[in-house]
This record gives sequence, C-alpha cells and structure tokens, in this order.
Amino acid sequence: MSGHCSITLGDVARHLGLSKTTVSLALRNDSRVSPVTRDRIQAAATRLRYHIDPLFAANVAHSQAARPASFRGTLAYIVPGAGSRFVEPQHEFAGARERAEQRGYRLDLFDLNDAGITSRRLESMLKARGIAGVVIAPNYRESRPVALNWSRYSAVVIGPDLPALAFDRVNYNTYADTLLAIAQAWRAGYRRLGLVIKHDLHRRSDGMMLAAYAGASYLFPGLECVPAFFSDDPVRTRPLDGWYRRYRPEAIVSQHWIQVRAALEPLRVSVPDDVAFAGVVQLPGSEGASAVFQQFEALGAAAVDLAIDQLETGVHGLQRHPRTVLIRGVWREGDSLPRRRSAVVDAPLPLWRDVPPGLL
Amino acid sequence: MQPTVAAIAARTGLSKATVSLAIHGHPRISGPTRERVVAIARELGYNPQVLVSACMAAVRAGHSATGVNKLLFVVPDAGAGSRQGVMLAYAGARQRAQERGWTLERAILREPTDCARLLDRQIRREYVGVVIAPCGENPPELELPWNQVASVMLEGMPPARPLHRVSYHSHVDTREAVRRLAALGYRRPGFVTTSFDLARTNGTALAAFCAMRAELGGLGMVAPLVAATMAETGAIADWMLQQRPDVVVGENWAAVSAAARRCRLRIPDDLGYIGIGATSPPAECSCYLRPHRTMGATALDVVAAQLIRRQNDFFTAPRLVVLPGQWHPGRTLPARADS
Repeated sequence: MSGHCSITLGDVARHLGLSKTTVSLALRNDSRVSPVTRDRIQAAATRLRYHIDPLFAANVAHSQAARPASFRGTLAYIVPGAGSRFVEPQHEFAGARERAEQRGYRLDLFDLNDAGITSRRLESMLKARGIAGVVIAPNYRESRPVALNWSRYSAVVIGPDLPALAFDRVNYNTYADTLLAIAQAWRAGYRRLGLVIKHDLHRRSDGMMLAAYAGASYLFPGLECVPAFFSDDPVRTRPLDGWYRRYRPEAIVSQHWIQVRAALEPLRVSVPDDVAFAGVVQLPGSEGASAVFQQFEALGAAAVDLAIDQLETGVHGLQRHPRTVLIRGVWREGDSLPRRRSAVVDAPLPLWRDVPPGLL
Repeated sequence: MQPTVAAIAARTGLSKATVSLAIHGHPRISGPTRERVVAIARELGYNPQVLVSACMAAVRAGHSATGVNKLLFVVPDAGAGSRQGVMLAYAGARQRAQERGWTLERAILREPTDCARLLDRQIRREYVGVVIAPCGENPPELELPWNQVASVMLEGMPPARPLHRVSYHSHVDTREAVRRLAALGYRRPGFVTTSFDLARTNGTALAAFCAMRAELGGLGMVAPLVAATMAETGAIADWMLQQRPDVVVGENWAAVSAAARRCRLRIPDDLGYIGIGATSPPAECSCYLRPHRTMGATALDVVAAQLIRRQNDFFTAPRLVVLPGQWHPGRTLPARADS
C-alpha cells in the first residue's frame, strides 16, 4: 500500500526532463506553465500514479496553521450575469472570504453584471492574476451562461444557477428546510397549510419545495396541505385572492414574506391575525418572519473548501461525478407564526420511520 | 489561527503535558478534567491535528511513520441491509484510498461489544479516520472518539449525531423517472416503498413522486403503498389489483415482480416497472442504479479533506453530500402502444 506514495515529484520531473518547480506549478494549474506543457505533465503524473502524500500535506497544513496562513494564491468569486444585479453578493461572499483567508487564499470578486466585464475579459483577467480556483456565486435569478474555458479551473457553484455546469456544487437543502418550516407550523397548532411558490423558484429548487410539501401530509398526523398556489413574479393580489378564498389555509408556507403580505393586504387579510406564515428564506432581508433562514456564510465557506481541496489535489475541469453538498438552514422565531391553543410545541417531531405501513 | 497547547494550558491553569494528554483522551487524566480541557480547547478554536499526532506517536514509539495514514471502513452490522451495496461502496472507497496513498481497512461489527473494543483498541491507536457504512433498521449507537477521528457516514438511517453524510440523491432520479414514464404514455403510475426505505431516504423519493405527478397533471392518483417489508408480496399484489397502476415506481424489483406474478400481471406487457436506487438488478430491469462505488469514493474524499485541512467541524456545520444515480435502460419500461 505504501508503494503508492513512493513516486515523488522528483521522479515525475526526471521522467519528463523538467525541473521540479515546473512540475509542481503545472500540477497546481499555475498560469506560468503553458497549457500544452501543463497537460503533458498532468498526464505523465497520472500515468506514473503520482499523488500528493497525505501525511506530507498534513504536516505542511499543520506548520501553516500554527502561524497565520502564508499566502498560497488567489481565488475568484464570480457573480454571473442576469441582466441586472439582484442583491449584493455580500453574505455568501463574506463567509467565502473568511474561509479563504483562513486557508491562505485571497478571494477576488468579479461581477459579470458590471459594465464591460464579459466572459472573455474575465478569462484574461483570471489568467493575468494566475487564478485557477473559482467559486460561482448565486444570483437569485436565471443566470446567463458563464463562458470560460472550464478545463483550466477548479470550480464550485453555489446555489442552483447554471445547472448545465457539471461542477461540485453547494446548495440549500430546500427539501429539509421546507419540512422544517412545515414542522414548526404543525407544532404551533396549524393543521391546514397552503404553499405559495413562484414558478422560477420551483424550477430552480428542482421541485424540492413542492416535494416536501407533497410529502408532509403523510408525515405529520392531521395535516392537510391544500393545492399549492403557483405565482408569477411578483406575487399579485388578483390570482392569490381566488386561491385564498377557495382554500382558506390557516398558515401559508412560502419564500416570499414581503410579497405575500403585500398581496394579502388589499384583501384585508393580515398576517398573522388572519393567516399565519412559516417561511423558507433564501434571500437576505426577511426580518420579522418566523422562518428557516439560510446559513449564507456556511454556504460560502463550504464552496471555498471544495474549491481549495480540488485545487490542492490537482482536480480541475468538469466533473464526471459532480457532487452536491446540501446545507440546512436554521429556524428563527419571528412573530408571523403565533402558537394556537392546540399547539404541541414540546411534542417530538414525527419521523418517516413511524409512518405506518399500508396505503397512504 | 490555531491556539497553541500553551494557550490552552494558561487558560485552564494546567500544565502543557496535562492539556496534551487530556486532548488526546489519555486515561491518566480524569473524565471531568478531560471534558473541561476539551471544551475550552474547542471554544478557543483548537482542532487536534490527527495526522500529525499519529505520525508523532509512531515516531516516539520507534516505528516508521509510513502507514499511519490508516482509515477504517466500519460496517455496523453483519446481517441486515444490502450487503452487496456495502461491498461496492467499500470497493469504491478502497480504490480512492489507493489513488490518494492512504490505507483503508475494514471492520464488521458482529456484537454490540465490538463497538467498545473498536473504540478502545483500534480506532484510537491505529486509525485517523472512519467511514461508517450503512446499516440495517436498528443502527447501533456507535461511541467513537468523535473529536479525534475524522468521520463520515454513508447513507443509512439519519444519525443521532450531526455527522457529515454521503447519500443517494433519490429526489432527482424519482423526478426524472416520473417525467420519463409520462413521456412514454403511462397514465397511472404507482409508488411502492418500504418503511425502511422511507425512513432512510427521509421520504424524498415518495415526496418527489407525489410532487412530480401533481406537477405534470393528467396522471391517475394511485395511492402510494408502504409495505412493512419487501417480503410482503401479498400486500403488494392486493395493492396492484385494487389500485390498477399501469406502471410501478419501486425500490425493490424482486418484490414487485413477485407480486405481479402472483396476480398474473406480466411485466412489461400488463405493467411497466421503473426502479429507483437499485443495487444489482437483472439486465431487463429499467432503473436508476444507486451509485455505491462513487458514494464510497466520495466518503473517502470527505474524510481525507477533514484530515488534510484539519477541520473537525461536523459539530457545527454537518454537510450532506448527495450523488445522483445512473440510468440503466432495461426492458421493463416500453413505450405504451396507445401513447
């Protein structure tokens, strides 16, 4: 087994007739080595079964962690274009930057919504700065494709954007988050729920929110989930009115705290007096709602970890088996979901394993 | 920045030697002291550097430092669960370990007392990381020195502890399956699962099935069936006769095909079948294959990454890594003649 560690960087360099420095740079996708040479070196390293010795890597990491991380390189944090910027990319970016700095990397922000930044220009900027590690930020809208020469980069995507890119991805656990919001409504004593969801968010969550909603009626005893209301953007009073009058949900489960309240206001339906609200928030700025809030910083940090792991183990380009890391949000009690008399706040949450066998 | 052992010693008012022994769980230090030191160390942001500790321990004991990067693949019970799936995951993890220059060994726990033995003798002394394989319906409460070994759990029941997990993304495959069968002209899809599968996937396949059926519209509302076990072919056969699905989305080919035979329904002439997360189906079975090997390899990567970047952060931010399956066409899902 230990034979697998016996191929050294020097062996690879001797085999190719190149210096150890060149080989080392090429294995880390450094831009100082030409793509042709880099590919040749990487192919040779693979053939010779050269791998970074984990023990050595750990010792290096150890000595670096004992003092402030020395500078190891720069990563790019890319906000894809969507016509206009929707939100400031601050939360995920803050988490990403903190983790990058802990690990000795600088994180540069590139926003494709800024005037003059095209994919082509971005490519040359990345090359000029010697950047080989990339984190693609969520944009909360359908993003335009980012056309980089992906084979050069170790890349990780945050959120559901750009689904065609087969990269490792860090995403919200919308299924678990929605179940949690429903569980909180159920515990607070609400038994008749209604889901308000926008078409694009439904698509972007790959149907996970609707799935959790559809499955919840099997999981929570006595829970009734009325047919979901699919909304255009923004949520408008007119169509919501008909749905609300027809189904009269006791609580609304939705991502859209501000818009749902605003759409209900002309109907003299107030939250939470007439209808309660249990949120699943994927955007900053829903203060006051009782909702599952995303741990934006944790998403950013996880994405940077994945990108650096790829970079330091020489993985780049599109992945054959891309992985998705799902990170759950946390419940925060606001004032939109007051407890009813029938509340079972201390009751343990029902588990799928307790669903009785038989027809559902 | 990592606090030094000296900083922890200053904070606790103990000697550096005591702090070091306490952090590494040495029996010479009393339980309460150990817990107090570990709590303060964690508060200060200290993460034990498992690989270096193992290396130094080997050197001090006069052994060679090579081979200390050993990981253990723990199979929590010898009986239940899909043995074949576990074997495939182990093969995937082992291959990735070799590629990375690590050693992966395997331990099968047959008796509850094995847990204690592993804890004391093996893991603490020999291994720096642990991959916990999926287990049957009643997972044993493993008591590992969580703050000293890097760990990850493969599929299985949701664990009591917030561990990193690697799992099968049944949600995306089930959605795809419903889309596929609707496009082929099926109109009454039925869903069969077991209590076990329902629990271990957190209901995702069932929920995805119901949501996709509602989303597509025009599909008959066949009540899903939860069988107590897949040996219950009688209950599944009754369900087929009563609910009259024209295609079954299922997690167990053997049980569904046996039930179909029992009520004289021919697959695929009378009834289509599409499997979700199958392990080693016969060639004719149309299904999404569970990516056991890739899950095993990914689990190894998760452990290695924790060790290399010396993060032991599962107490605060456990990560769930999900992987989709692979489509196996088979012959049990032909296009409907009337489509």
